[in-house]
Amino acid sequence: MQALAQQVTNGMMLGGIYALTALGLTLVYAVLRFLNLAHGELVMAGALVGLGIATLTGNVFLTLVGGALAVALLAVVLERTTFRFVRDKSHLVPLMMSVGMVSVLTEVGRLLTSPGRPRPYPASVQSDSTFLIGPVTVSPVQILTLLAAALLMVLLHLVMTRSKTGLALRAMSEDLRIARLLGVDADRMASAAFFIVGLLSGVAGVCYGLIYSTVDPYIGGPLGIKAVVVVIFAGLGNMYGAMFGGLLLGLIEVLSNAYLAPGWGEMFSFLFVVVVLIVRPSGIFGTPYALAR
Amino acid sequence: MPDAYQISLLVFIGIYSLWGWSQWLPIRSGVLLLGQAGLIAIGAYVSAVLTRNGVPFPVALIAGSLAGAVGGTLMGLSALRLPPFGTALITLSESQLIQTFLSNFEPAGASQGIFGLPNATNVWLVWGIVLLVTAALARLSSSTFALAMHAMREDEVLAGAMGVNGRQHKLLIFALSGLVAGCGGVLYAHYIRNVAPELFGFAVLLQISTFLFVGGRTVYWGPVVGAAVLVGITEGLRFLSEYRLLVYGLFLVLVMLFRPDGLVTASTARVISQAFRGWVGREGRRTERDSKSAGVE
Repeated sequence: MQALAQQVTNGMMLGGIYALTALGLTLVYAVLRFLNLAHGELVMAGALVGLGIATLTGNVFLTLVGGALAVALLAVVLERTTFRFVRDKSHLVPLMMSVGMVSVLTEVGRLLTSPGRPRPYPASVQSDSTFLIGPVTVSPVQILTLLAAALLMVLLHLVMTRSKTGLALRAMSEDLRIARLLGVDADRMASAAFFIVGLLSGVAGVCYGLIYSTVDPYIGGPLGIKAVVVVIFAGLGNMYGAMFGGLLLGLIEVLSNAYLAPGWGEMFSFLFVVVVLIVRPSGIFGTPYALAR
Repeated sequence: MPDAYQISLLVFIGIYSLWGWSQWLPIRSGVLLLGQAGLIAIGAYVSAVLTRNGVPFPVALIAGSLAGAVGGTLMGLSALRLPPFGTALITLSESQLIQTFLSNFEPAGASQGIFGLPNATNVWLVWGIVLLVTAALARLSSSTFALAMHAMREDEVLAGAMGVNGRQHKLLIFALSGLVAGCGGVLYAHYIRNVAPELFGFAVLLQISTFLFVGGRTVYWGPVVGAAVLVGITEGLRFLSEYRLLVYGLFLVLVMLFRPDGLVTASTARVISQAFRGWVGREGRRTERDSKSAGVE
């Protein structure tokens, strides 16, 4: 029983990262109608920037904030220099552009970390002290991850439902043309969306680094694919589905690694997506798939 | 006389062209199939297991290609009900599923893969097959099948109303794509002489998409142009070889930005073909159907 509680907790921590990653992906899809396959690489950028800041300052909070802001800036720059100009083209063009971005970002990451070997996060941000909550052992880093993820999700919910920017973004996700007719500045809002996505990815990346304690430029690929998995499961463009789906995927992976053969966990998550898509093409939470064109 | 290194480049251009066609075929029918890595892996692994157990290479080549076709058909069956994006996602997931399965499957060497395959692929075989496929595609591009592909891409519902059997057609496209991918996989495996799961990951999809989208997806020889240009650039500028993937990625982003239809578009193809006909000295006549079937998406 205690082991199960421990595994569930670990799964939730991992799930928090997946949820943040999936949220960013689904947000870009909802607002701009393309699947940004380079999304995992933004998280990787967050992890690498976080590594740099942590090595320089050794302060966890500075690392989180700095990583988030740096990736937000990177995301906005990417949007302004590339994605903006292909928004009105066939949906294949931005998709393939993001495929190209995957290797550009990965390679830049590889060059920055020189040979691209895994680099450890410094011990100063890694305190080894663990404490017990009931039967479960947790480290401060895990609690920080969970808190940061929860806080960001609440914040995102508030921004999307209570602010004018959120209203404009939701209007764009419903119908870009009509939103524009009603005076939504699509260019500015696209940048705003990418800024938010960058913040989410940056935090996810730093949390990934803190939990796994080593990072390399190749973590983006698997993360991005897992985010795609979550987003399909949740229904494309469904924000709350992505939060829930991320947590669930973390649990599935940790539990299947713990109780089924190790190493097969990843395969089960892909099998799960394929089955979900075959049985229920609109995802579990059933966002109308007509949107997904 | 080209040296061994140059010949190996030629072989890779040929193999990459085959890979590229396995994405070109679906895209020309408005289907976004992103499972090529998995299909290539199926062809490569099936043939690797066969040749390791003493089966002659030609048999393994045919078996691997057919296995790819079966894999493609299965992917098609699972994706039939889904809209374009759904098709892209499910085939990508299936490709990842195949890769993760192979990296855990002990009888196929798990993450080590299978080593010591016979060196059965050579430049003549690869380019023979490439020419065969080119001939088939050239024949195809003036058939009613190509018209049906074009109609499906423009408007699937309307194409259905005009008598194109969408279901059958899509499955055939998936099977053909799998056939070409599987064949490319067999040739690849028996050229580098080993197979391993990490060879068939997301990077392969990235490479294929780069070749196809840089070369141009509107004419059937686009993938060959893309493969030749990209392999040429990275090998011509030797000092870039360490940054190969960076160059591919940048090239893809830039081409999408400035020439979203690829380097060879329908209009460039027309110019080239007319110049060629003029040079040969024959009247370059184009029927209305030709110019329509060469239309841009």
